[in-house]
Amino acid sequence: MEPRLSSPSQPPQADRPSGDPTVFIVDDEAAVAESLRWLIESVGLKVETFPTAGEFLARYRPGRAGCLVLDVRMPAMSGLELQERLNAQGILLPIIFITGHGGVQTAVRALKGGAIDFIEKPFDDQRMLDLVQKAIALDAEARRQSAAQADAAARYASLSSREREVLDLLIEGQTNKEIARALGLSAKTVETHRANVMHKMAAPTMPHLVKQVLDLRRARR
Amino acid sequence: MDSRHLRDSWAIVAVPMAIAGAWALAVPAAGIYGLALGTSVLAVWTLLRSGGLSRRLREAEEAMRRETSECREMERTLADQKQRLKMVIESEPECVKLQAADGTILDMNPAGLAIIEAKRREDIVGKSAYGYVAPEWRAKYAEMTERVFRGETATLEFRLIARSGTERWMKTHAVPLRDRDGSIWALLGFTRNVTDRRRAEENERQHRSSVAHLQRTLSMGEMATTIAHELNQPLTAIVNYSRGAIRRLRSGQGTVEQVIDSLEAASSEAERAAQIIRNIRNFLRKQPTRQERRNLNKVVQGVFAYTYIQGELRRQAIRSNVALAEDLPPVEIVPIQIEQVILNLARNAIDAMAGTAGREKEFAVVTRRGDGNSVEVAVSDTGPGLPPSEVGDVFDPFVTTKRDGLGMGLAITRSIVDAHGGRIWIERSSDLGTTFVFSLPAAAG
Repeated sequence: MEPRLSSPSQPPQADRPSGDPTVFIVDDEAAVAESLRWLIESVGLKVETFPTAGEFLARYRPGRAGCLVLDVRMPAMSGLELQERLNAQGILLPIIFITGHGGVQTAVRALKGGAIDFIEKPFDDQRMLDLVQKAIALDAEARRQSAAQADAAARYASLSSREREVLDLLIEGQTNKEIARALGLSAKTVETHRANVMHKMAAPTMPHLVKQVLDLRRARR
Repeated sequence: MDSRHLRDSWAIVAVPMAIAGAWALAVPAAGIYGLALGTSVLAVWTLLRSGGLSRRLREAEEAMRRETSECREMERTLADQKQRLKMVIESEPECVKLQAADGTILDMNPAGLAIIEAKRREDIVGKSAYGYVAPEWRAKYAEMTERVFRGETATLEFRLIARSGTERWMKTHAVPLRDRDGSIWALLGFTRNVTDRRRAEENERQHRSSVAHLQRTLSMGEMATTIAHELNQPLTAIVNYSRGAIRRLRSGQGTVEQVIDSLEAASSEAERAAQIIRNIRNFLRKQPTRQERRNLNKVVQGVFAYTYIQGELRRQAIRSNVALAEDLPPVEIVPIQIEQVILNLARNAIDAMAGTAGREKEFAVVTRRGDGNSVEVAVSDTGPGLPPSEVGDVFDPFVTTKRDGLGMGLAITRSIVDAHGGRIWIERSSDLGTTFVFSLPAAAG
């Protein structure tokens, strides 16, 4: 899912949401982009505008939190193409599409691609602001989840191979004794490994540990 | 032939001598007697033959004389023919030229010289034909020359650049010219100036493309998309600027300067929206406006020649009935605009029948004299008719009965008819079909 999961050796903090959420606006119409900035800044949000999809791709850093307000029809790369590119790169910034003329097919395609919504210009200011807030909240939640997973992955990566073996059997619900027998270790050694696993995984209790590991496995599938 | 006569005569003498000799050798007993006999036989033979010989000689002489005079006659005829051919070529209105394989002009008639704008033959002969062929056509011209020197005939339409730089469209037919051995020594080319024809074709194409252009303009979907997209941009900006300003004023944040800036930005976007509307108006008016005197029958026929209409009628199996009045006075019109009116009414009629199943589809166009000094065109369909509520305002903009229509077609149609001093109305609309009629004042005089 997230690229960070595939490299568990990376420090977990690297891709954490950095700074305040930003509303990224991509519209080739400067008047639309600038007026949207004016509107969205009125609720105290940070705004950045981009005249083309290509410029957004070049300047956006995946760690940056917020949402994307994206025009459908643009010269060179369209909004839908940008959405596809971002999806392909695993950048899951929530997208609100804006369009000069609604087309059912375009809307369906945008929503299938994971867009938050698809609205026609000119739009109601309150609706736009609500959507932006909703998108930012979704992004924050997604980032929190993936950060937790990234943490878990990093923690898991810090385990020794023996500790992982112990962990796997613990998850299966085996007792220290059973684990000791299975791995040919003394119960005391298993006890030590188990303590290390709980510590390294930052799991206060067994259920915590199980949940973390199961989440991690699910994310990796 | 004469020498053969003589050879024959000698053979006549020699053969009996040989026979006599053989006789003498074969019958030596005959001795002198035999020889004498042989000699006398030979003598008699010779005597007999000598009369024939002189006759043959006379005949040969006669034949020779005859042939010589025939030759002279033929030479005279040839000279005459040559002279006549020269005259024909010289006075030929097309360019006639002889050209070598490498493009060197070997000869050219005055018409050709005139096309190239050369005063004298010497200015051209010996020069390369490629000097007068427009660069982009040189490869094709070389190809044609090559074909002719391979023994084929060839045709080529190309652009020529005369000595003054004037460009002309030429069409050339070229054939190989062979010598007695049958080898090709020159290209004989007949080249016609087709500039006028090309220009007419070009005009026709432009005319058609502008009709197509206007057709596109009137295509509901296109128009809707363009207007919606164009106007939505400034409208969106206006809404955003003003809403953003209201929010700041309400919440007390933002400086007065900032709010003023945003309102100014909103006003300039409103100006832009107005400009877009002006542009659309101009766009619709930018078609040629020169009025020409025309017979409406011709215009109607012209529209029906369009592949689009013919194709639609065929595709939808619509019977068409065009009834043109013979005594129509001419009208002063901008042809392309009236074509557009007819085309638009025809398209509407055809579209109206698209959904009618189970009854015969018939499309009719009638031209006729109208009230006063006017000419009318009536376009009818057997579609479902207009909803009664809309009969009154179908000519208003944005009124449409089409699912994806914007309602501009009839509005534009009416404005064109109005501009021509005419009228357009619905003569009949029931569940059996609709008839639209427009009238134009007949031309004065």
